[in-house]
Amino acid sequence: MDAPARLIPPGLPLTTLLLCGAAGAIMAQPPLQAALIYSRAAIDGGEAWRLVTGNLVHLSASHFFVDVVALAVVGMLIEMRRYRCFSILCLASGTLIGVTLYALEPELLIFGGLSGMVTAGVTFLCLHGLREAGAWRWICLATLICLAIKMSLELALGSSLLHLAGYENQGFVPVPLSHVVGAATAVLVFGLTSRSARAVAPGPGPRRVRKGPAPTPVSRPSGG
Amino acid sequence: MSKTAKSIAWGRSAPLALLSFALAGCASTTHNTTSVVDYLYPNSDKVETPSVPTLTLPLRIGIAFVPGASSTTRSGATLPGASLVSRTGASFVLTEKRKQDIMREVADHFKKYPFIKEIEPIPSAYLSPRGSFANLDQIKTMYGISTIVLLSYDQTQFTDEGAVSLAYWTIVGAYVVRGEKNDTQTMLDAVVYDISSRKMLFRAPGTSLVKGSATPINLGEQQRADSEAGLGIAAKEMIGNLDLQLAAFQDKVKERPAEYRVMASSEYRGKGGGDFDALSLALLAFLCGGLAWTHRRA
Repeated sequence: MDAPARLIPPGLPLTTLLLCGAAGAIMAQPPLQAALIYSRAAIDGGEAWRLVTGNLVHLSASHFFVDVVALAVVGMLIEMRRYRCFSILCLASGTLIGVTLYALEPELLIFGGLSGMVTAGVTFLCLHGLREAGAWRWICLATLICLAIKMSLELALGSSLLHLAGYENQGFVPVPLSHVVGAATAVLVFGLTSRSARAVAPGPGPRRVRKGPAPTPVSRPSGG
Repeated sequence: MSKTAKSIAWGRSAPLALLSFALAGCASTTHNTTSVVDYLYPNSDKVETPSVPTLTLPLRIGIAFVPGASSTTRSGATLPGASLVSRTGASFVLTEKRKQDIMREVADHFKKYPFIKEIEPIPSAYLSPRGSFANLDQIKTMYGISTIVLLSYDQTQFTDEGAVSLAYWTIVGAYVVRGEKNDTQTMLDAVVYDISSRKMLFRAPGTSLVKGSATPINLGEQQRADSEAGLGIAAKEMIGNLDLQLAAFQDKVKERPAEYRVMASSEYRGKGGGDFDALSLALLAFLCGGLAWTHRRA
């Protein structure tokens, strides 16, 4: 008897597709951008949803393209490798990024962009990779170290390294704090999900008594 | 009363009546004005062609009153006769202190915008009459500004005598009766220029009308007070209009990116974005490449 068809095929990166699709829909509709972008004045006026939805709004076409492609790559890697709680990570990082910027960057009036959530995804992917054996583990470790150095420098200098060097100017100033909060959220979610996974993992347990005939031992072919 | 006494009384009162009618018809006008066009374009033969302005946020803006005030005072009488009351004319003087107060009022209002780093009031002594853009280039170098707000004014004071001025003949009336009617009309105009490109970005005016009255003795003082009040009201209206014009200019910049280039420096914190820059992309590419390599090895 065949297994019933699943509505959502296993391994489909649903969260990634939803986020990229939402960002694309918002980019195509300027009224949606105006209604959802992080705007300090609007948040002060009670529109608290902008703390979260602001991450989905982009400030230019190139900004949108880069962020969405990066999220698509990272998200698909995470979801196709079946790492749990990616959707929770996205929601948590988006919320914490908005709240932290509101609390710690009072002069930031407008904000948008998925890169904080993308950084959270990259960190989450690499943390899972540290658990695996082989070269992949070392690649993930090297990526995490480079990411940490880059974020520390940018946080200390107040902007992205390339922007300070004059190689990038998209009409807005990069906000390194969003990347730091994204990475920190990934560490938090990874830690919490790891702890809960260890809590429900089956232990040795009581010895079970087998019922029914003993399995037939498989005879090994003799050499020669 | 005897016939002689009556004729003497009539003989004295008739000239007085004539004089008072003459007095009632006297008026004077004082007009003071400065012109941004005269300052920036003193040579009508020379043509300045503006280029595309590049606005680097946050902006450093200067604000100054254009020099070269011209003043005219005109007195007239509708009927022949000399004015009994000598009008001092209270010549209009916009003092440097008053200019600084107005400029500071504008600067304090616009500091709230995140794309404005500072607004620097520039003393009038630094602007030469008919100095044009060469003078602005010097100021740009001195103050490190990229944009300048040039303020100009036009104030006219009309002074007339009302019928109650008849009381001046009592001598006491000249001290207590406010028979001098003053109308002070003021216009204060702000024009915003990008200095490098010579392009006018936007402008905003403010106007006022102050009506007052005075005795002949304190006419000068009252005219100065009306002038001050007129400037203050016009300045407030001008600031309100500057807000509106600035909002309209922001929309224009978004709609016409070919005409106005806007760049954000590393200091600009008003508009920020989560920017997955080239370095981050390189890290992601390294990660993906490493994953592909490990899969191939496996």
